[in-house]
Amino acid sequence: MDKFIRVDMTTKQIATLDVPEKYAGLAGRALTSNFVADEVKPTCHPLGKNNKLIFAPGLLSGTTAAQSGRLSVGGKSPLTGTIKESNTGGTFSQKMAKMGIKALVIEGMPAEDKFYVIKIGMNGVVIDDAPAEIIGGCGNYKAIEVLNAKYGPKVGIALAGPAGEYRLPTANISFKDPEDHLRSAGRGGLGALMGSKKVKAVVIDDTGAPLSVPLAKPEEFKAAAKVFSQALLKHPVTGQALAAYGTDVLINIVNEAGGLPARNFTSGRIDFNDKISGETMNATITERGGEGKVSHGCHAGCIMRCSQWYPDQDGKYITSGFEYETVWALGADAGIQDLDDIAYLDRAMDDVGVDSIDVSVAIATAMEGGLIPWGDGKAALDIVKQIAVPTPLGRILGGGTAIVGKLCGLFRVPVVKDQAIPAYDPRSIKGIGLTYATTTMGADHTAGYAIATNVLKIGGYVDPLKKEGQVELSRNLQIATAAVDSTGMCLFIAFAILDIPEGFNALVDMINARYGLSLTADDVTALGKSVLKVERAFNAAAGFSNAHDRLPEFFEYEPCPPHNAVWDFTPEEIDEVYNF
Amino acid sequence: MVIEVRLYATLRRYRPSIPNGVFTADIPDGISVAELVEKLEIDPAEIHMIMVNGIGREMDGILADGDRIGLFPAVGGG
Ligand code: SF4
Repeated sequence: MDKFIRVDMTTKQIATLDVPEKYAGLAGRALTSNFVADEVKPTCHPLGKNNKLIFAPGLLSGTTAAQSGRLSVGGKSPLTGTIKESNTGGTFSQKMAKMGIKALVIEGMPAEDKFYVIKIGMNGVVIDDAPAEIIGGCGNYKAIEVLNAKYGPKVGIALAGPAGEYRLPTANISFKDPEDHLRSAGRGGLGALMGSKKVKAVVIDDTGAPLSVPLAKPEEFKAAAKVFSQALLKHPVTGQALAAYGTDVLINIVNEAGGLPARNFTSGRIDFNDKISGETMNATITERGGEGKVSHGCHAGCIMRCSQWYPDQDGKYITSGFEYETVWALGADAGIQDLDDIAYLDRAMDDVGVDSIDVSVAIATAMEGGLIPWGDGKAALDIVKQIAVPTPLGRILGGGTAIVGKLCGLFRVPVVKDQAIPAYDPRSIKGIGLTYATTTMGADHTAGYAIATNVLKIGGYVDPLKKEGQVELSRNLQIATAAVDSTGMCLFIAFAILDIPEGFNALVDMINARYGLSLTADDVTALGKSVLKVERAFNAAAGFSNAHDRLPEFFEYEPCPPHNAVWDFTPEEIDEVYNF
Repeated sequence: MVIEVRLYATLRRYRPSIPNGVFTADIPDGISVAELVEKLEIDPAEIHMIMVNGIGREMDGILADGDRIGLFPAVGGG
């Protein structure tokens, strides 16, 4: 019987309960968002005692299905003030699922100024004092070492870094990956929520747990899982390209399409693209050898392996999960032309525990605002490291793009609902603009990745520079994404299942075989819709209206070269996205 | 007429002497992308995305002097 664990940080009471009836069929994002909508006061202060943090593995987590080890983390966002689901790899999700833990809820708030570690094992949950050496600026890499030494090398770890302790709006929650490196539930400041509850870390030890979750129909599950992984291996993107080049392959594609935001969104193309491209990243890793790896999975069971280990000149590991969005923001948007400088910045952001999208875009914004020189990677690294102290400038940067833009007196501040707009210019790639504007999460490309169809020609083709077809595209992708985010699957499976129908059917079949259900494709769509409706209702009750579903105004009157496109959707057209 | 070709990702192996895959080519007026690809001796089955001056095009697109042609295999990220 699955469990619901609730940890009350006010009283330090721990309750291990049966799963409430209404959550029985839910997992991942569907569960975190329904729970937040049910239990969190929409108008609460995100850092006050009435906010709650919830961790939930997906429907298929803990099974042998490829890609099923993603975890959803939910709460009211300290960055946006909206509902938030942030999704991560690492080892946590599979362990929770195997231990039969459907959700972990952290609520309340201690009166005392002291940090704790929540330790979850098969014999129950305990709350320990956090080791003194990991408090007050200790980097996440070091904190993982200390916690491994104390709790054992095999435990899963969720960590609020220094930024989380200081409750900065861009603080992420960092998760240990299979090799003791870091993956993040990056966006929306959930690390600040964890820090506000005085939880430095959650440690999970699945020693004694079954090796796999129970399956209602094991044979059918096995057959469907096989079809599913075959679809992933067959599709050229999920089968080969992601592993070969990582997500950074997009630098050249989006640059060629004229949608690579450059120098704080004043152009859509750069000429130093090859210094920071995925092709160059691949060649650099291969040439340097040593600890470098071109491909790497963020959790056991990932066969698409978009991650990598990027080494320094001597072959020593610098960073992993070195994503396109981070390279874009620091490279194209902030003008830092050296991939090594960008790698050290990526590591520093992981180490201090901030969202590498929001802070990287904030660095470009700080350059526009004159806080540091354009393109200066060393100056950028210095101010990121100041977050760990934190100096006043470190705190400002950790405030994110919206705050830095405001403090610098700028109007060209690329955010929606105070969350930074990532790596695709909405003027030249219009479908993604609708997603940024309308998603319940604040600007988020993953919420409805229109780039697939606007640029990559996956799941059909919709001309990125025209308005036709974009509303339906963004809407359908947002619905599908809300469903996929509830399965525990990495969103990149979408590349395969958009093009290969058997892959999608196998996904549904796996869910049915796991739980003994008979869901159809329509039920999956209905689930996605219901998640979005629940999230939107929470946001409405928190004070958000259609008027918040707008892009920054400068996109309407500053043309983006080379296409000189502007953002030209009317408010009425934008509002159609959520008309379902 | 002279055009600029940009090969990306795995297509760069067709021009190993040009690491960044960017070169110009003098081609007959008014030929299509497919004809260009044939001239370059690239297997068309490997090409998934074609951009001419930053605009998505198909194999039958006709080229003009000064065009910038980006060719990509199937790749993705996010
Ligand atoms: S494809 Fe990338 S993000 Fe997805 S599970 Fe694998 S390593 Fe993680």
